[in-house]
Amino acid sequence: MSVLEVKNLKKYYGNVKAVDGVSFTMEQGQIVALLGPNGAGKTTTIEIIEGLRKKDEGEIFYFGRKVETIDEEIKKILGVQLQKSAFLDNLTVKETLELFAGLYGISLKASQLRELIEMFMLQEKMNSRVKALSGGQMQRLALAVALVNDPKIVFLDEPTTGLDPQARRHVWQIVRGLVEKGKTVLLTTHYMEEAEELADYVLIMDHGKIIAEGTVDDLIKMLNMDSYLEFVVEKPEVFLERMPGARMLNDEKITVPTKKVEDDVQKIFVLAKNEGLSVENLVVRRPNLEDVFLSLTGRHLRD
Amino acid sequence: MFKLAKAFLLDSVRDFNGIFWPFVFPLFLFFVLTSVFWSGGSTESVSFKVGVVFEERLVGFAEFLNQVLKAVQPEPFQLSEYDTLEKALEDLKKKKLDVVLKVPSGFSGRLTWVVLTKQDRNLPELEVHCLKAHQESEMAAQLLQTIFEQANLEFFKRANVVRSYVEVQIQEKPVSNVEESDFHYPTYLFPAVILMSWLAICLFNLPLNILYNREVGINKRFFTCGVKPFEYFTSLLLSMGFIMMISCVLIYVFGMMVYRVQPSCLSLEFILKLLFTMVVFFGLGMMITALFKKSSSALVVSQIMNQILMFLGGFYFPLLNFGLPKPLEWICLALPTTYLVEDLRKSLGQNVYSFSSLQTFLVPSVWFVLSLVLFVVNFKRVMGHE
Repeated sequence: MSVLEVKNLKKYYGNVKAVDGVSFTMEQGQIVALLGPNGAGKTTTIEIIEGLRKKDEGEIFYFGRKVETIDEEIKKILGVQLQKSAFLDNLTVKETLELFAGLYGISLKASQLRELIEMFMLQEKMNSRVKALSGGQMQRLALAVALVNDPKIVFLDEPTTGLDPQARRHVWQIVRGLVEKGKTVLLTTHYMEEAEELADYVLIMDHGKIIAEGTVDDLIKMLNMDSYLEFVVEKPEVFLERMPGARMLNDEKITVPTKKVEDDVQKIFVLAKNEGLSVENLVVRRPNLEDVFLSLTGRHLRD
Repeated sequence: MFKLAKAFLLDSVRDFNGIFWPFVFPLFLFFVLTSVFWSGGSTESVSFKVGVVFEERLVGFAEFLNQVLKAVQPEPFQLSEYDTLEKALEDLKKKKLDVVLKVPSGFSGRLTWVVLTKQDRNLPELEVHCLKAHQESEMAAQLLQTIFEQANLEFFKRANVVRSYVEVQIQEKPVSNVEESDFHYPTYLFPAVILMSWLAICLFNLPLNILYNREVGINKRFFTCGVKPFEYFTSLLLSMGFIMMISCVLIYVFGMMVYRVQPSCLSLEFILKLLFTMVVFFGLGMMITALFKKSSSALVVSQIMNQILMFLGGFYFPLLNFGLPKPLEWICLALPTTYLVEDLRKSLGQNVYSFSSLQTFLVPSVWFVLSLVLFVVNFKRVMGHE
């Protein structure tokens, strides 16, 4: 039995189709990543499932039970971390955790509170007011609050946005730890590395629709490319015209899909020599989800 | 709901603004206004020097005058007897005296005639001399005249109503910086200070909290835990109500201990009127919440409304007695605060207008009902997060 099943979910804002027929299934202990650029409809989708927004069409099933409105009973088994973390400024970290536990009807034992605080490395800030927390600490508090009710399903909406790489890795560790405890996680992200690192299953979303889904490997295999070449050159237009599949990765870097690395590297250098150009910073890398998204939409995830 | 209310309360009182405006500022304002407009009840007495010239010895009914003159000593008058009017006037000119009173010859006889015949012809007269354009002298003469007018009333009573001797009640009128009467400025100000504090809480804290929480997503976070919008709103109201209570108790203690505000402020009538005021003020806050989407816009309107409701509502001065231009007077009469504060003052015996009970109840109620309707109609949007 699926933990969560969503069928043909739709949400419109006037003529804008924010969510346009999204369907997916989540099994227990799975981490599913909803990957897409800003405005793809990830947050709207997750907030409908959390019960914060009303759907216009579609069906939601929790543990096989069709749910029309997400009632209190369902909310008790959900752990929610919103994209924008905001709490009452003048409560302490400890009071905030106790408050949210109380709202779920739970009285946190001192040991549970300590465990939660330690898990998110907030020991030193336990008695600090929320307004005194840094962005990273705030994000960690938001994650701690999401777990305060020991939920079965955890929704994390861009949990690492604004965090430094070290803090991001720490959050990833925590998310993996949740799955080890049997929890199911749905996370939205626009960081392809995050999805690659964590997700058992990836849903790529754009313009309110799921445009591709599968495991990271499946999605990359879809590209049918062994590697990608990336390099910097003065006149990129020459390469964009003459090398099949070549695209600008950013303002100066070109990326070229390849099945035969040696042949294509040689081709790049010959072309550069003929044009009197020099190739710099050439790297060969494995394809990733960014390439998948690029190949599907012609845009980057961060666009 | 109570847990959430407690959290809102803690969040509010831990903030400097949350402490200063509802708790400290009202007491400070009470102190400042009372210091400026009230002399602390210590009527600084002034004695006027009066030279009295008796041209005859008072007998019969006229002896009352001796009683009057005896009673007004040593305050507000210090009397010195003079043999002749000339000597007394000379001292008056030298400002050794503030005023001169002459009891002319024939005074006793004339008075007896009036009392016995009840005729108002040939009335006895007293002469009062003062220095022209001399403030103290004129004031003393005026005061003396007032005292004798009161005494005249007693003559009248005696002449027309009773024949037997009636003791003359002398009206003592101390001369002080402020005219003493039943009016007690701290008591007059007391309800206004409470209302000012409550108005600030309802016009600022309530709408700004709701709008800010919506803007930054605090309410949304609570809704994920199963908190319903109505519970969330009620929790906020409860926390505000509690802050208002604390503020009120502080003002009560300060007012009663420091300024001896009349104990009638503890009456059930007064407290019920305060509760009615609280409900109306909540309505005003809810109206602002319903009308504005952004806390920055609401803040501007709250500021303007707060000033208008306070000053034109007559919190600190009885504006309607100042001969305001008609449009301004109409605005004053349309404001709920005009009636709410006046009604509370009425319970303390400090009212200055004479509104009907219906008017007093109706105007604030109309405001409340309109606010409530606006709020209920917009409730979904106000409490929303999309």
